[in-house]
Amino acid sequence: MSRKVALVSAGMSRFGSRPETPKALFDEAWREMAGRAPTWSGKADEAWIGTVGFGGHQPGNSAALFLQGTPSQGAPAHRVENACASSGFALRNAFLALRSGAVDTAVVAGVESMTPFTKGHRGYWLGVSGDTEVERASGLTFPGVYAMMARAHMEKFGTTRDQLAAVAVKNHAFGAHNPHAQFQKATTLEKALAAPMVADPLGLFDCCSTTDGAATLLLVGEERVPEFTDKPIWLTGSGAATDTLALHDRKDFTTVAAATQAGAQAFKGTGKSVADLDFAEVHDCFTIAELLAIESLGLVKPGQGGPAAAAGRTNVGGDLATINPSGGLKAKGHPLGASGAGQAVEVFEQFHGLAGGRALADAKLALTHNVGGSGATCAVHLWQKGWA
Amino acid sequence: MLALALPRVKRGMKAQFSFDEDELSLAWDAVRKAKLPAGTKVAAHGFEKPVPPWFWTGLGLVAAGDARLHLRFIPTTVGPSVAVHDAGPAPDVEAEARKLYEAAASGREDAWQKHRNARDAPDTEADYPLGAYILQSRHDEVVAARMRLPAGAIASWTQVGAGAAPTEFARWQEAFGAYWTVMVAFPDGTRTVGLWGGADAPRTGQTATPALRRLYKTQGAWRHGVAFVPA
Repeated sequence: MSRKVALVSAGMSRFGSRPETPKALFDEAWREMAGRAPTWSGKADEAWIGTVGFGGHQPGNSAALFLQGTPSQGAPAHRVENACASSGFALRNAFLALRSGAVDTAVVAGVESMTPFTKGHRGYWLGVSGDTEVERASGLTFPGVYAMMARAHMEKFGTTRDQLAAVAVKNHAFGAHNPHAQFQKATTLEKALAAPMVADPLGLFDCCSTTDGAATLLLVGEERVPEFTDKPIWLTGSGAATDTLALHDRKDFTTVAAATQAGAQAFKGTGKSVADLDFAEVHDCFTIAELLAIESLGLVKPGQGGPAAAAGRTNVGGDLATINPSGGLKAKGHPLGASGAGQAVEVFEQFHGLAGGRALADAKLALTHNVGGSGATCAVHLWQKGWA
Repeated sequence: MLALALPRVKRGMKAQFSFDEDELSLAWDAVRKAKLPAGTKVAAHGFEKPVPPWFWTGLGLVAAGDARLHLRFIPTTVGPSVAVHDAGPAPDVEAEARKLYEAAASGREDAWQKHRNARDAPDTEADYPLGAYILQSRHDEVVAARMRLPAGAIASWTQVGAGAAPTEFARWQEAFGAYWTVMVAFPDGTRTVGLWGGADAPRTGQTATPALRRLYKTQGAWRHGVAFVPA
């Protein structure tokens, strides 16, 4: 069996520094999702929940805890952990189960709580999703790893700090219109460039903020769509791939091969290409990551990401797909396990006219791109608006 | 045979251990100076703690009590030293130690205080048990393998600020401030990463060679690792 899969509702908590438990954040996202699907009983056949499990809260068997107290309590639930791509892979699992006919309704979620902890606790957990044998023992966490990618990109292609900063300026401008975003304030190129260095050549504005939040999605098989909505968003393609855990073991570290592979897989058989995209939510954990994403997915040639960003080609009115209209991880914040599902919430809000000041006119085709680590895991999904 | 190693920085009248140095890192320096071929038998003497098995494995040497070469910790009037020398009693290394002392860089007093504070600071809640994410046995295997790395060329590098350091490198940052990490490409096409032990910023294309250094301490135990230094 191979049937169509539709996104019929989505919701998220506000991302940002939140004192609540992960369960409370999950419930907040669930309430928004349930409110947007008023005919839904709240019961899903199965659930996939992405979370790194940052410690400090229920570390094991947490999927059951998340469903506890919801109408879906009792349904099979899975915790999915693939670092920052956890909920992107949770989404893929649900897609495969729905498409095969194994389930008719599925909840996909992502949850993370990271800020209520001490500096020591955060410092310990950050980087455990990178290579712990060599990278970590070399004093690296992800800012350092991505900084090495950035420097190599700069030296190979002439990418500049101004071009990186252009990504931050664009995404913060979008984030200013996103009530779910941690940072709802625009910034300037000058301010971004003047920010203190985190891992040279990446400054503070080149880095997203790891934070707290949750996002939930309701997906159903095509024959169940009429029970929920007459405005389905078709999940038309799903791709996923892995690469070496450590950056230094890759053939080329100025591109993300897993993204290229997952992207090609997501488009396969759809009759669409990146040229048809109206917008994309890509994994901009660092500004260089957005450039690597659009290059690896094929929106521009290798090395052309920086000039494209600086020229406004990925902004509203540009000739390429608009990139990260939600504000991306940069402005929205990055609750690791929740970011992938959060990208799909943006797709839902854009297509349903819920995006307010960041709404894109006439968007019909979108892509979400969720990366774990420095590219060891990647999930890409393709979304088609199902109504005129 | 006499190959001697002294700490690389002097403070006042003595060369003293920086945060990342100890008897074992000096032992590495002495053995590298001696250019001992793999399989050489060596007897260790005078070390406060037994020389760990991974040290011998990493260097390809054989620890043997009756060996004709000795690896010995020797205190001198200008600081601690480690020597590789022919079998017999501890040699007089004072003259050689003084030469090394004269050539050593001078450390600033405030820098020494930072190193001392970082070295002696009590554990905090950030000090997770060794083995929390990599077992000691696996760490030792990785270090031993990395000790056999050849020289390579720097393919990329970064300078890591306070917000981007793993918890266990908090002490390293307290001692050295923002630190450099390099990616090194080897002639066979493979790469790795490591801390940069050079005094100046690394450059892409620069030749880097491995060096055994002390990395961090957690719950009272130190871990060593392989960093890179200018050739």
